[in-house]
Amino acid sequence: MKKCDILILTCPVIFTNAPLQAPAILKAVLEKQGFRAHTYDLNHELQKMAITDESKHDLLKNYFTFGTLVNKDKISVVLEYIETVKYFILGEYKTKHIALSVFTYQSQKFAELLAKSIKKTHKDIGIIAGGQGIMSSGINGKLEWVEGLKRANVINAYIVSEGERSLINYLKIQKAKGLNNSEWEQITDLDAEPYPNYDDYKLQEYKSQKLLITGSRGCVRHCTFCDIHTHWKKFVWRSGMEIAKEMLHQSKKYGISKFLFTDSLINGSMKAYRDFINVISQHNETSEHKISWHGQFIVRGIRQMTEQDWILTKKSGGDGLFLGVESGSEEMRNQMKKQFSDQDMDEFMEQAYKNKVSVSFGMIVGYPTETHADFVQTLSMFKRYQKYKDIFVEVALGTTLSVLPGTPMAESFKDEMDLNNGENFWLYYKNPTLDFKERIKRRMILGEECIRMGYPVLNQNDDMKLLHHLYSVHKKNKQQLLFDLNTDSVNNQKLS
Amino acid sequence: MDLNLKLHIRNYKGGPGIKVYWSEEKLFDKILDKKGPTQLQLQIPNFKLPNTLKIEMYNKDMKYDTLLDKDMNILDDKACYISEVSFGDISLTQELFLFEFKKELGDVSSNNVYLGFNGTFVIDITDDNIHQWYNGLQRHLITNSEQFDYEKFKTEIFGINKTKYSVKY
Repeated sequence: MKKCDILILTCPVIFTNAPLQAPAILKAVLEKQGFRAHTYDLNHELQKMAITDESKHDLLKNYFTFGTLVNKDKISVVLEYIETVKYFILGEYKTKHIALSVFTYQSQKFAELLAKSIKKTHKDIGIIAGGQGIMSSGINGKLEWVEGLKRANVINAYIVSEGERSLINYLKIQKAKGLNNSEWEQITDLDAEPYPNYDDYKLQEYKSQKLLITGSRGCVRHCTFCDIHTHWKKFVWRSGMEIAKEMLHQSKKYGISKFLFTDSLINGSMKAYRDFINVISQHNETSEHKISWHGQFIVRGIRQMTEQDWILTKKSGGDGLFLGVESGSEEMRNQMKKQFSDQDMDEFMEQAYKNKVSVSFGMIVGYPTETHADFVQTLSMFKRYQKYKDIFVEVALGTTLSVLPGTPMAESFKDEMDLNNGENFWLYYKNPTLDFKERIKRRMILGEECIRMGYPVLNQNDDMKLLHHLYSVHKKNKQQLLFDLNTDSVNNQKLS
Repeated sequence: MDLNLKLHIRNYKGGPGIKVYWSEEKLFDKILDKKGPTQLQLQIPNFKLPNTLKIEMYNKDMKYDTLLDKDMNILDDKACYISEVSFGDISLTQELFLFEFKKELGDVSSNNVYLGFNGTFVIDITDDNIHQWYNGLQRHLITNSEQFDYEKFKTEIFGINKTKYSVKY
């Protein structure tokens, strides 16, 4: 039996082939402070069941994700699984505290059942919940669920947002900013943090053979439709040298050389970015274990991102840059505060193609001021880049623009917009022909045309299914309750 | 909590008997002999979750209460369609197909809202938050639905005979 002060559990359901970073980060910071911490990836264990017992896996995944059971009698299968997990972890670890890492709201059901079961038999174990999933309805959403668990003594505490400081303070003095409240304080010196510790993971079992890495938190841009600034007040970033060092350290220690950045954008700070690609390029020139990486990226023209930067991007293993392009109309992008011109786009795509760096586009159909001419420019953009289609990994067209509360757009349009009972159902009085039906129409045309031009369109069928459902709700003048289908995928989280 | 059931009755030989239970508490029990759509507006006095709503059909004699022609096609029946079940502001329509109908004789059918046998249609609310449960139900339905017809949806959005759009770019 392994003794520890705290055991950090990754709660299902998350669709990922890579280990999540948060438990490994927490283990590292806790150990640096002298605590004995272990991690265990329960999500991975559930995923493995898909191979050994597919029907049981599907039933459990369905219940944990949706809370639905076609046959109520099967609840016994769920409860039995929870008991098995509980007795397994309590048999393996002798711990004073258990931290439940709740990545999305789709991990809530499992976390709740497990916490209830543990408290029934082991009241003395302190349970603390954290992660983005403790909130519902958006990035700075409501804490109803987790507060309810705390009131009912199912958990002892919860942590909002970054857990590095709060968890340590909870263990030491049971007091911290962001502990049982939303008044958390953002870490500003990321370089001082230790590297994630994956020692407890059976990394060879993860299909992607990829590790997650964070170069920055927050975003350097202020796109009008995005709610990231309601959560991350500041853009903080690590030095390029530190990012490179972490990659080299982790790849040597764990034998994994593929990395996925969790950042809103990798090249937010060009100085940090250049330092990073310089070091990794040099490593890749001589090493047998070449590093590769991907993640979200800002479009920059050739003056900001030079030909040399592109060469080093490729040499450092950069591939699969996800770009929030949003619209083919420069005017629309200016209004969204995307801050890149058509010329920047053309230069970026030319360099990406020339250097064989693959890309993905994220698009928004139906910005409030989008005219038919703007929409046609989006089609024209895809036609213009058709010659580059071989470097496209995916094109995410989404389910038309949602007006998220707390975004600059929601604020600036609020007096001239009717939300019509839903984030997707809005009508902007100054552009009344662009109603929800028209936005769906444009989304359909864009999807069909992109497919016809040979682009790999992501989730086309699911997007259409969801739009179909939302349209039926809208027609009945009912409240929109559903915003997405599955956020159990790490990538969907990043795109949402 | 308001409970609203929209039913459609087929009243051959007098119409079916319908009982509605919330958990074990009986909320309604009557023979519905009027043909066509009917609405039951009920109250659930003790709305605690998780819980179960049962809609039971009785009073059907399987030998005599279905009118068939010589080719065994049903001409008339003693039966009940469930077209909508609402708990307050939450309405279940398509979602009803996810639940099971347990026939009196023991077998269970799903993906069916036509009660043509004596038996019980069971809606299990498996969460203690009805909105969360409803959200999960919708996600399940949309994710797992294989019946989605894109062309039909496109016709609805573009209009009949207008689905062949032309955009120059």
